[in-house]
Amino acid sequence: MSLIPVIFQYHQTWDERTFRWIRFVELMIVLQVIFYAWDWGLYVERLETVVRPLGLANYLDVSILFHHQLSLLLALLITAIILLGYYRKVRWAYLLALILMHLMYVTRFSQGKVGHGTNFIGMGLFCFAIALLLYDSENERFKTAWGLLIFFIGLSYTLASLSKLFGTGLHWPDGPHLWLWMHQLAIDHWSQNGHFSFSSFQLFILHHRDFATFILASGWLIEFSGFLYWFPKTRPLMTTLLLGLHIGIFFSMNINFLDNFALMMVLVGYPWQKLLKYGKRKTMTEELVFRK
Amino acid sequence: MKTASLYKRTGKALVLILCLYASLTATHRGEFWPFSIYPMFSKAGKPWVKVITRKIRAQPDSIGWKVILSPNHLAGKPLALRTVGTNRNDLANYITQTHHWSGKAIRGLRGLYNGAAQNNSLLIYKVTGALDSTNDSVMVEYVPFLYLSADTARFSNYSMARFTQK
Repeated sequence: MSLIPVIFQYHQTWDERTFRWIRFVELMIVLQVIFYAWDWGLYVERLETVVRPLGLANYLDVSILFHHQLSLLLALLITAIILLGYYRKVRWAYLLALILMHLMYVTRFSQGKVGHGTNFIGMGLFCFAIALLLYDSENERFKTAWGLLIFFIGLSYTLASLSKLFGTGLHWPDGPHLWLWMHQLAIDHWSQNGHFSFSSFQLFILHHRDFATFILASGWLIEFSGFLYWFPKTRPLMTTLLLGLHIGIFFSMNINFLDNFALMMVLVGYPWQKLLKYGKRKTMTEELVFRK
Repeated sequence: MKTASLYKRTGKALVLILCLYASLTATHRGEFWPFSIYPMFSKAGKPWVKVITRKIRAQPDSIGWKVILSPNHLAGKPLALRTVGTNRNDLANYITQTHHWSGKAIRGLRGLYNGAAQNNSLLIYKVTGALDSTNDSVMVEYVPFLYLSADTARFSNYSMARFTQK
């Protein structure tokens, strides 16, 4: 059976709760974009030089945004434009907000370190942007955006595993590699917070090479299986395994698993709409048709 | 719109998006937000360099500019970057990827410390980590890099930095 009908399900009738849940996830994406626009905008004001350009910063001099509160002006612009998209006032608003948010991102992360915590938020905005441009009906827009989000979340984890395979080779899961990262992140934590000590679990990993290898190998296999997120029957299981992966990363390397990366995966991966009560109508009606 | 048309349109869009995704990431070192190949932790076993900052009382002439192997022997007390609102990766990358320390570069560094260098004397260490030759343990070294205070910026001999002006 072709993958597209499995993911996008245009031929199936969804109940109204599903659309309300998707609208809620859309709101979460919009609010997070607004939050990070201002968070990055404020941070950018203290920067002086571009250390390593990313994305559009390779072609534009983003250092002009370091001064004169231009980054805050950009944040204000992003906020206004994305709300136009959320309330369906302008069809291409989400796409414009995404481009401006990319500009904000490459300005914020111009100091050498690439941050991945907001990639799923950006992909979420991208998915909704495409859906709004492709279709007029909210029914079709929601199914398209949701399907794209499911596709790219699953793809991301599989891509991450392939990056590891091609970046290092089959010996990637060797235990000492995890030890080296644990020491690196310990220094990171110490630098950020002024103190650090390994937990009992971390000390156990550091003294048992085979266990460290087992952790890395399990993590890699779960990541590689990310494409199983695409299928309705395996999505809840994959969500649970991926959540377990993030929890394992947190306890072994102190990397926060409740960041936006894992949160988006969980919001999309479980059938949360089944917890909602039915509204006045059981199926979706065309309430928010975009008017040209 | 009929279902078959919907699938056809979305399918074509998906193919175009994937081509865009592939071309943007392939031509920009794997990263073009929000598109990414997610290369985090992809190069296993690679030595790393990070930075920690200490608040010290000593003057630069009396600092023991030595490589230290134990964190218990570091000078002064830790400066937590969260107290100055700076991300540790930004600081580490700024220091490790700046090769020509002009006045502007030093000002940029002071900006990342957000006033901490005005009120304190700071000793910045580069911390290197690598697996030993038998791959059985991790070696961590703390290399003094730069003394920074309100009116002084002095590099250690280990830094091999070219410094033109304060």
